[in-house]
Amino acid sequence: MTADHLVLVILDHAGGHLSGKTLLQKRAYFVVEILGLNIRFKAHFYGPFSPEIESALAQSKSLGFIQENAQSFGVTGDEGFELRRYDFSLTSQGGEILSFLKNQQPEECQRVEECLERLATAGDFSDYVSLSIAAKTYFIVKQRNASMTLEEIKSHAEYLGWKISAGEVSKAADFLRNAKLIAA
Amino acid sequence: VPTIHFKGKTAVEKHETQVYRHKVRLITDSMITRAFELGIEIDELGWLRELFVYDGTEKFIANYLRWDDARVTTALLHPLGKAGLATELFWKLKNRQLFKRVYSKQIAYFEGAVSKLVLVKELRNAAFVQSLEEKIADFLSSEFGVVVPKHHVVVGSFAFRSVKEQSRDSEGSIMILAGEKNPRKFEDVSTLFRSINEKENDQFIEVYAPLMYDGEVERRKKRDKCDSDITNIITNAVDTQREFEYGSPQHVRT
Repeated sequence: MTADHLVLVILDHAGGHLSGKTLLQKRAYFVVEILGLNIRFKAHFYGPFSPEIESALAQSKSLGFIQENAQSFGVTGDEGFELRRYDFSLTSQGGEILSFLKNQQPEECQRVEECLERLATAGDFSDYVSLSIAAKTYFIVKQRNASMTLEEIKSHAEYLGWKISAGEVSKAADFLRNAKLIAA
Repeated sequence: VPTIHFKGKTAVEKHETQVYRHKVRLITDSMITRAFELGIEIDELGWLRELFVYDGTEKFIANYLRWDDARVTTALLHPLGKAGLATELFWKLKNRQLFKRVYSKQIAYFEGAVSKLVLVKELRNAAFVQSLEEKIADFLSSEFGVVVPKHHVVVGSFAFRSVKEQSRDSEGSIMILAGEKNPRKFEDVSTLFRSINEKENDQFIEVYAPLMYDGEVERRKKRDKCDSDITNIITNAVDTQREFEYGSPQHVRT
C-alpha cells in the first residue's frame, strides 16, 4: 500500500475526520511497522515522521480528496508560540477514491483496518501526546534492536532531542505490549 | 527547530516564488534535463552516462567531482564527435530559443476523482509520459503545420506546496530571530507570507514545446486550442490506462 492510500484509509477508519498531523503521522508509523510497509520514517520533533506521509497528505489535499482546517488555540508560554492544530476531513471525492481502493485492493485495506483496530484496542484513544511517546519509545527500542531499561530509553530519547519521563516510557511500554509490538 | 536571522527573511520569501515557480526556470530546467536524457539514450555519449548514471562506486563520485556546469555546457556545445540531439538542445538554450509553455493545468481540475489519481500515478510512469509526448507532438505538428519532434515535447508535473505551509516545516515552524527576546514564527513575521493562501497546494501538469507565435492574438488562439485538445489527449490516455489496469471505468466508478 502506498503512502497516499494509507492516509485515506487511516482517515476513513477515524470516521472521516482526524485532528492533528502528529496523530496521523504516529498512527501511520505504527501501521507501517506492524504491516512492514515500505514507507520510511525518521526521528523528528515529535517522534518518528515520514516525509512520504507528509507528501501524500499534501497531494491528497491538492487533488481535493482531503480538506484541511487550521484551528488556533491562542498563544502560550514565555516563548509566545501560537498553538495551532490542523484537522483533516475526507471529502466526497476522497470517499470515491476509498471505495475504488477497497474495490481494487480489498485485502490490503482490510489489513490496515485490522491494524488500526489493534492499536485502538491497545489504547490508541486519539491522544496524540500518548501515541507520540509510544512511537518515540518504539522507534528507540527498534533502532537498538535489544532489550532496554526505562532509563536507557529515556536517555536515548534525550540524545534524539525528545524529552520523555520514565513514567511516560512505562505507560508507552504498556501500550506497546498491548499492541503486541514488544514482548509481554 | 529551524531558525533564521531576521535579515534572511526576504531571501526565504523570494527564493520560492521567484526562483522555483518561475516559468522560464521550469522551461530551461526541462530543456536541460531532456538534453541529458537524449545525450545518454539516443546520442549514446559515454562521458554523459558516466557523469549522470549513478552506479554507486567511488569512481563515479571521483569523476562527478571533476565536472562543473561550465565544463558540461562546453562539452555539449562543442562536442568532439558528431553533434547530436543533446547538442542541438543546448544550442537552443544558448541562443535563448526556449520552448514555450503550451499547456498548464491544475490536476485538481481534471474530471473524476479516480481519473485524477490514475493521472498522478501515471505521470511517474516513463512509458506513459513518453506516449503522451508522442501524441502531443503529433497534435502540434498537424494542428499548426510545423514539425514538432516528439523529443522536443516535454510533459512535466510539478507540485507546489504553499510556501506558507512549507514555512511550518511539517510538524513545526521556521522561527525568526528578530532581536527580540523570543523567536517568532516565520508566517507571523512575514507580511508577504501572511497574504499567501495556505490552501495554495497545487499540482500541475505542464507541456513545453518549441511552438512559435506571431503576435499576441495568435499566441492566445494557439494556447486556447492547445488547452482544449491537450486536455482531451490526456483524458483519453488516462481512460485507456485506467481501463487497461482496472477494467472499464463504468465498472469501477462508485
